[in-house]
Amino acid sequence: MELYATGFDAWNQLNFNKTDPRSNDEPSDLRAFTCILRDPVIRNVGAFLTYTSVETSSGNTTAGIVPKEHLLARKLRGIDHRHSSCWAEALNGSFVILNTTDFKLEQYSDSKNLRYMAGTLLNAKDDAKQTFRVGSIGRPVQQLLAYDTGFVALTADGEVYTWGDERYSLCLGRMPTPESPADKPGLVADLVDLPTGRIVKIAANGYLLAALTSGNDLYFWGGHPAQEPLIEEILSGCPHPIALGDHDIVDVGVGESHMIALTAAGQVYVIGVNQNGQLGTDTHHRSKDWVTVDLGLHQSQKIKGVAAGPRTSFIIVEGLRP
Amino acid sequence: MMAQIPLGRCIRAAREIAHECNDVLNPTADPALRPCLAGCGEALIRLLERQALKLENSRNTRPSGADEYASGAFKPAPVNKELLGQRLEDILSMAYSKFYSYPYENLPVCWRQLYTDASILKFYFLLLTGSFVRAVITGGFRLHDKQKLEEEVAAMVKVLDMAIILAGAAGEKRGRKWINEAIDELHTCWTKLCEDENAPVGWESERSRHQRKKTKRTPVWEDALSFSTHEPFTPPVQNPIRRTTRDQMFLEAFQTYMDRPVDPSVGPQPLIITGLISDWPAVTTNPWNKPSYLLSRTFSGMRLVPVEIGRSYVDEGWGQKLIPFRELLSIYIDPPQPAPLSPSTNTTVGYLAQHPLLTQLPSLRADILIPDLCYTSPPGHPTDPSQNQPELDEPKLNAWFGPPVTITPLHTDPYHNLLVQVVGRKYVRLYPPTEGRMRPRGREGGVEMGNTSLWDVGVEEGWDKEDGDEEEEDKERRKKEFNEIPFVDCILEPGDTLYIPIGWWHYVRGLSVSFSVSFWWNGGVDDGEWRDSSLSS
Repeated sequence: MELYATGFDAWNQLNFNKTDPRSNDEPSDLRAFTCILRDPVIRNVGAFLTYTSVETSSGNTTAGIVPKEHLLARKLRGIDHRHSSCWAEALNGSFVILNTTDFKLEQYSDSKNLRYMAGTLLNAKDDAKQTFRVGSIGRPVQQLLAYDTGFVALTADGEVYTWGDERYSLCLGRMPTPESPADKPGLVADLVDLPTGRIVKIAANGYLLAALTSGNDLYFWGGHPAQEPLIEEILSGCPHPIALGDHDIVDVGVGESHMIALTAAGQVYVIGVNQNGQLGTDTHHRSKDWVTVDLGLHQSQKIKGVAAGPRTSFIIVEGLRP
Repeated sequence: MMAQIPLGRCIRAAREIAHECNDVLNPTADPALRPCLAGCGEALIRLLERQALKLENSRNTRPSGADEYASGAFKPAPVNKELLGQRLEDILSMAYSKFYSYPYENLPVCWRQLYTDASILKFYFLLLTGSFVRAVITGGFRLHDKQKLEEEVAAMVKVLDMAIILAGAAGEKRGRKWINEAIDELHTCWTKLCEDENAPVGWESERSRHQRKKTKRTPVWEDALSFSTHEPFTPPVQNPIRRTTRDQMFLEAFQTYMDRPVDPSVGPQPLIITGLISDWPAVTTNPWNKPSYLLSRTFSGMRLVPVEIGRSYVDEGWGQKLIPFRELLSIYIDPPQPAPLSPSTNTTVGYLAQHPLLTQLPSLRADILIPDLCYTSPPGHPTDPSQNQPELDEPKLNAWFGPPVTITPLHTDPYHNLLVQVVGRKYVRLYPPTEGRMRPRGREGGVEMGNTSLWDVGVEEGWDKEDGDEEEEDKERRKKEFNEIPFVDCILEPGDTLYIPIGWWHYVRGLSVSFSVSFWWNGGVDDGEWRDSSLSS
């Protein structure tokens, strides 16, 4: 398999060739999709601001600089194959850890609490801890992600829950009420009973959130009142279906100001800001419309998935270029 | 003598920043001395350090002491200017997204310092990559395009003003002091360039230039144009606030006035003191009512200021943006063709409101004096001690500068306030803290708005158009209720000072072009109430 990437590379987070991320050389950003990894297994691409982690045939590998708190979280929780993420950190420092046995979510207002946790293994200082449960009791949480000021979780039943800072209520995709306040997980009712089936995947970064249905429809919500909307005229507190021509969309990645989507026909589209080359296109600053990306793959190769970090994009390809 | 180019300070700053980054990354450093930047994490510190080293090295001089922090690993490399500029932008945007993600009072200070230090480096970068330095040293405008140079200078001023306004110019070693001095140096260079342009070319000797400087008089502003005093609408004063003079309300008298209120359950009453600022340069030698004077004190209007766009901060469509002071004047406050400013039209109102302008611009701060009356010890909140704030070391100053019909909606503040009217006229209406019908807002969109009232005085009085499609009957009932609430009001004339006691609801409406300064102060609370509560929390 091959992993292609483009975008922000200030810490060699797109370079798996064991380059010293602490060198004084200044890496340039990648401004076009470039093959950065070949391995029989490539899955679970974790794309963070300062590093990338990928599961390969020889285990988990990272590129870039992993923050201390993330190292602790990874050590504490490991990488659970049944879940693409068992913890998430928002930009405002709040940290959520998913207990993969009872699917309780433990939230800390400051990631520094992880240091206590690492010492006493889960007997953290309780004063800053909140415990949540989402969905019906005992049903697994399939995906847990952070956006800049909150979190989003997808249950195995296809229910999407959001919680976070009420000042950015667009990201919640729901109206906070006294019964279901902003800072406690609340069901995004607009993503229930959709015409093309339940939600099977979520993606989030910055102030943007997206969800994909089993019938290949893409829903999008969020936005920051002081930032230009990613898709024209969509600055929305309600999940909004996104049309990409007539294409069915099978995978999606969301960055802080850009988005990448994979169609059922195997085509990749990007939209948004290109400041750090995250679109991998010639456009210099921003693309207001979806643009297709051509990797120039061999006919034996097939695109399996896409992903996005805050300022990076990834394409996972099955098969090797001969 | 050649004007001081702020290049030397930039080199020193880049070196200091690189040192601080190295101290963060070097675990042998005494933890007590760990620089504040440590909170930004290793990745950002390495990124900042690399840019600082690159800038420091771009001068082709290997600075003394370079070895000790580079631990031998650092090799001077040819600088990729485009990448350096982009990486500085990257650091700024990453720090800035932190500002949004935290409620401002919880934002760790390291992010404000990171933004400030990256701004300082970007200022250095602009100085290095532009043609300004060469113009100052060599040809002046004779060899360089004036407009291009002016754009360069404006961009440099903007970078530093953003650090002041957005990040509070945080940082102990450099911070606000560094930025103020850099702007001063830049201003001196720019002024000299502009003077040279007006001097006859070629023949003027150093000596005659020196003499010309010596005989140059400080500008006289008497002949300069003043702001218009036009008032599109003047509300009637219904229950005038008591007026007194500075001579009657000296320090001890004012202390007594506050200590012995007529009705102790309400606390001291609002009061207008006249003549308090008659000796301020702002109303005499350095007239704030002259646009040309204000421009001269704001780097020819290039300094950036925050402006509220829209009638009032509770209105739909209200927003804030940063614009050069010159644009604030030419677009919003003193447009060449006075627009018919009334709330019934769609004219956009721009208001420089509640901004510590005088901290940002020390040269304007020098035009005012802190009134003695702020050195009194006023009582705490009459009804709600939880409102009392820790004692301020010095009064908090804010500037309020806008065109007619700027509105500060009915609200309370947790401090005593002297609202000083320097230029133009303002209408103020006040309701006592004991009034129970003020309809305070609650938490709105995650922001505590309990100090702001739902009443829109302008709408209830029929001065402003109402939006919304309320039933006529409800409207009548509401107006009746509103009209029953007793209040006091006044029109502040230039030179008037209004004392607004803590907890009083106040509605402020600019009538003409208006420039006010507010002084918030408080006293130590004798019963230690706030101390106890702050300790236990």
